[in-house]
Amino acid sequence: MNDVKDMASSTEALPGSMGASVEPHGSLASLVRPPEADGGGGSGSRAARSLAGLLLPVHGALRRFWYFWYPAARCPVPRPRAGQVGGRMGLLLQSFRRSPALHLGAFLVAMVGLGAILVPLLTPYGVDQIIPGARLQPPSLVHPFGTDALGRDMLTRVAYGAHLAAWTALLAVGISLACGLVLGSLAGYYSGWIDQLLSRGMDGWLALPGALVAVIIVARLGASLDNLILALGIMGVPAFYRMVRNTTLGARRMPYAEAAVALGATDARVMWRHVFPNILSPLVVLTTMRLGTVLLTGSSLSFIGLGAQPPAPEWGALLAAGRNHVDTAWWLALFPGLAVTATVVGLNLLGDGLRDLLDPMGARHGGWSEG
Amino acid sequence: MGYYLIRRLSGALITVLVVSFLAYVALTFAPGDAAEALIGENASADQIAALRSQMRLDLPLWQRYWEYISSALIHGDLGRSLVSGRGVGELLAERLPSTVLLALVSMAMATIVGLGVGLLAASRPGSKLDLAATAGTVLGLALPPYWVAMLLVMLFSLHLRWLPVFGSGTPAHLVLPSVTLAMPGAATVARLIRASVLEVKGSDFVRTALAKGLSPRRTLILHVLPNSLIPALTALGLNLSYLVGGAFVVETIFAWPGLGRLTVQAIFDRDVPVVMGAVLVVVPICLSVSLLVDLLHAALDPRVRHHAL
Amino acid sequence: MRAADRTVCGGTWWSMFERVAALLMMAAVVAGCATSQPTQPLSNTARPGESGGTLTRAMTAEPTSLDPQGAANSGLNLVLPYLFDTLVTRTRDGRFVGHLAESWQASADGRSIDFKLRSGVRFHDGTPLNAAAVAFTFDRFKKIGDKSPIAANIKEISRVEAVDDLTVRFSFDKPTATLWSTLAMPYAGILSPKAVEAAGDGFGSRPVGTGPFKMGEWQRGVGITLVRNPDYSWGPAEVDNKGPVKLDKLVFKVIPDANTQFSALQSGEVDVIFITEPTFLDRVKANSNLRLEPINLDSLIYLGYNCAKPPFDDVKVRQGLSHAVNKAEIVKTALGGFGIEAGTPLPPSLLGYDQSLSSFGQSYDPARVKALLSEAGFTQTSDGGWQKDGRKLSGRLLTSTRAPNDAIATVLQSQFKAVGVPVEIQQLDSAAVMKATTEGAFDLLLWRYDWNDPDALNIYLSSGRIRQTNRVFYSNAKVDALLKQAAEEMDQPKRASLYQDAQKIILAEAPWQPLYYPIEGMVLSSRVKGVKVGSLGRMLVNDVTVAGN
Repeated sequence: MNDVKDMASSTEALPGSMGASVEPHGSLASLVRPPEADGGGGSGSRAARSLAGLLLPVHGALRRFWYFWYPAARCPVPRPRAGQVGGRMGLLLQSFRRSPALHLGAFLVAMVGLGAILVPLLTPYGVDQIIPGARLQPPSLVHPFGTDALGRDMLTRVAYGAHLAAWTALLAVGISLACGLVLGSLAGYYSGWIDQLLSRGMDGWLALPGALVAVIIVARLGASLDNLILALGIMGVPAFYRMVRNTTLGARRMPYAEAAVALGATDARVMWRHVFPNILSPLVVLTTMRLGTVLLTGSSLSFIGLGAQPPAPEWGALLAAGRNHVDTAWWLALFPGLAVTATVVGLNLLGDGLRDLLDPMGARHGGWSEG
Repeated sequence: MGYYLIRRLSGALITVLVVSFLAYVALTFAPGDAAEALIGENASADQIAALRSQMRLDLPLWQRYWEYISSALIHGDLGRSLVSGRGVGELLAERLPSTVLLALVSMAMATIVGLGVGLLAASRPGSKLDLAATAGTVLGLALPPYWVAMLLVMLFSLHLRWLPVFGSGTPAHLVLPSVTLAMPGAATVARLIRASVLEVKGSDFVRTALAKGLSPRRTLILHVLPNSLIPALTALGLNLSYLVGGAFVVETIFAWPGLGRLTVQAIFDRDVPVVMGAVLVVVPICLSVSLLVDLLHAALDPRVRHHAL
Repeated sequence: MRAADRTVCGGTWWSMFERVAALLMMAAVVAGCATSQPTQPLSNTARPGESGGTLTRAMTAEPTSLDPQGAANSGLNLVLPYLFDTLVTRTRDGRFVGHLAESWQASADGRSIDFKLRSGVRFHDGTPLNAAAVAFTFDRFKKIGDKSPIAANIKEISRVEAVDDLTVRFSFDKPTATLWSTLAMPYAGILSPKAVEAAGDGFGSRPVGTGPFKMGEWQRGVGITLVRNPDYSWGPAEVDNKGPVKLDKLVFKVIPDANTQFSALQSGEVDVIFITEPTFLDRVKANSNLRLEPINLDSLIYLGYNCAKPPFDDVKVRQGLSHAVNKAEIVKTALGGFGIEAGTPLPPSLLGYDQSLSSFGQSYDPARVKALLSEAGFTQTSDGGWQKDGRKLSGRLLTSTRAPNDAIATVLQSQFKAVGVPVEIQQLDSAAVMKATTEGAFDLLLWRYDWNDPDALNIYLSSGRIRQTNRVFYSNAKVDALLKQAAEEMDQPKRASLYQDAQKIILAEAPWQPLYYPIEGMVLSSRVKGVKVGSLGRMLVNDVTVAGN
């Protein structure tokens, strides 16, 4: 991670410099290159290698995404030095060491996602099913996360809570993204009074603590998951607006954009062809970070009862209920808390890693890209 | 500089007006009004209607807002709470000192710890220390504050009996709430400081300064630190707005008599004057902090000083 | 990378960094240590021995004013009984006995009642309690007491006048049997006229009554401190110590979060809390320093139907759904056993309660559900649901965010699901629920009432109160007539039988399915001795002492 930062701050900060450890897309040469002798577990143990094996498809997907948007990033692969593991595995390990955040984050998120998908398929219990006589059971083989005060299986509830979390976070960030994108590009592209008006408004918006705004919205509309999502979405607009606006402002004044305008391109075309690709990477990073923030804020509001309604197993609500039994049934508060923390940590790390990967400079859009 | 200030202050005034109007609209469209919330269960429709006209809740929206904002800004009269009848100014004045105390202590803690951890991590990038610090900051941002509060209370108040569970009054009461609130701020500051210090130390002007023979100590103080602090300052400024008005979950858990709790309770009671009063207090505080941060930014960075001001 | 640093920066720069960083970390640690004081005793209870110490109690919501005649919120009736006394009080078994009034005499036509006051009673400001003060209190109530929960009952009193120094006459247009319940409410506490006139609007912050405690300090947002009234010598019937209380101080601390209250009790920072959710029961049992005193309230939690909205306007649908409710399961699962199954709309402590009436209601019987729904014209579909005229039978259950409503609602939902009726839960805060019910925007309602008089049936189920306190839109002329008659019937047995007749009809027509009578739990630290429980769940502290550490 630190090597990346150093490379980023050097004068030669081409996007492709990160690609030094990644193979060119579709090159057959790597496949026919004889595997280097593995120095008896050189850079890692067997465990690390099996871990890497799990991560391979993720890594592959990220690579394809990267190359699709930045075809110029392909660079020749350096020959593996002595003592290093060669081949695709070795390159993966190298990339992991360079950017552990990205891989760790993706791993955590993938684990949570896997749990969210697999557990509901495999569990014999319903999410609301009250099992008679099974009140407040500690974790066991039958109930790996224990049961709650009404006798419902906690593992199932936490897994369904992940569904709710994903739904809430994605939808809320989607709303922020859409509004911020539209408003920000308008403000950045046209400048003038639109920019002044909107920026003033957003400043004012930021001056109120976001949580208070969410409370007002939810109190007005009634406590429900949908209203919570709306409130969280509205809360997040300024962050996206600012980032899009700053980037658009800069990109619009680039020579290539000016040239396109001089040649008679319509506003839409200039925006799509010349401005938009600049927004993309910081947008991805900001979205990932925002997902984590929204998850935390959403669970805080559910904690005080403003979010999903019972019996919805939203993580914040589960934590609130678990608090009532903190001496006698510690598992009720532990597992939802771990779930929230793991997901947010994963998302933040993923965002960090993506930022290092996609947007190492960060200066173009005004620095700190977090909302 | 003068023109800049005038522009900022007039912009701030407009922002305050816009925000207060939006808040007023949002509040008064809430289902159920203060008259119903007040009388409660056992009242007849006539009683509620009578109370409503007594509270002047049956006037149109524009009129109510105009009456309110003109008396608030011109006469300094923030009205009376619809629930308790006490002056809003008095209510806010009761809560403000403890809120400010908690906010300042949290921010100080966040700054000190964040600076320390960030600088330590930046001093040995790539080492185990750096890894530990980074892991710490990642956790600090990801742990839900109410969960942390719960765990802290369990450990320090119930198990070790070192600190009180709730309330305010002594410095001991201040520790747990401010630690809970400072955690995300400290983590953010640490990350920002680390990133910007690393970035700055590799930049040309630092290299030039050292090459010119400036001692490392002076380089640190004159060049590296001022440039590194800027993003952290902005983050701290944003943090303050959260601490003053949005920390109601922590205030509820620790029974801290703060502004956030008062505001949230008033929102649920549909006590519009109190919420509006809180908005009219919190927004100018945050705007002035933002102005202060920008001025500090200018003080630290001559480029900004010449361009923006 | 590090090699590069060395050539550029020399060796000493990083140690400089480290020094600065270490300094800051040390500063943080020192600051942290300085503010935590490890060995302070945290309990509020001060001295052991003769003086009874300080009793600290947690309260969830702070009252906005301590004026008994103002708007009520949950904090108000916690504090009022210690500052003000009432003319009559209700004992725990439901009888009305005199407190400030020694005796009373009704006139022949029932239109006026003379109360004879106890002599020698003084207000906290030294002025004597006399008939003029009582008359002043109720005149003031009629003038400014619109926001009070008992405002409607006060309006039924047409005149209050002082006959002589210690005799007060209450006059009415028509006889009212609810007078004693009204006078026993803490809102009907007697105020000192001198103090009211002196304080004006500020009386709510400086209340003066005849109670066993005087007003001490009120730190807004933090707590209220009451101090002993040394001149007190007129304790109520149920306590042993009729003189001044043994406690020095009674402190109410504002702690809005239930968990924090419990933690504070465990750590010794408060001595008594009241729990309404059963979720804490396990923790109380696990802690040997705490003991639980269950308190039965004059309350009922019920499931109501919107009788104006199809298909719930059909009595067969209501009866059918009511048969699907398993009250034993609710009490066991959602309440942990902390409640009494209810078969009638009146709780056991009120006049007119009759256990045998529950046979008129709907007990748990899933077979009857099918039969009744079929009679109502519904047919069962292949997935177990019910439909009629193409419309599926389902409903929205509205309730407030107050615990343990979510647990009860969840259990109800699963019980209805078991008979094929999907129910969606909607939790709003109380004000929004009340608004929604007046507009009829619900199908099922999980709600409660707390009232100390069987006139509650009139308040909550008579057609005259539809869109106000009758939230279920129930209307039955015969019930209205019975309840009106009972409100004016002064003969107790006759009154009881009128309420029983009304309950028979109500239970048969099922606008409500009574669920349970709540039990409130008073959890005390073992240091507290001598607590007695009065009616309305009031904690009587006249005999209490709190042992110091």
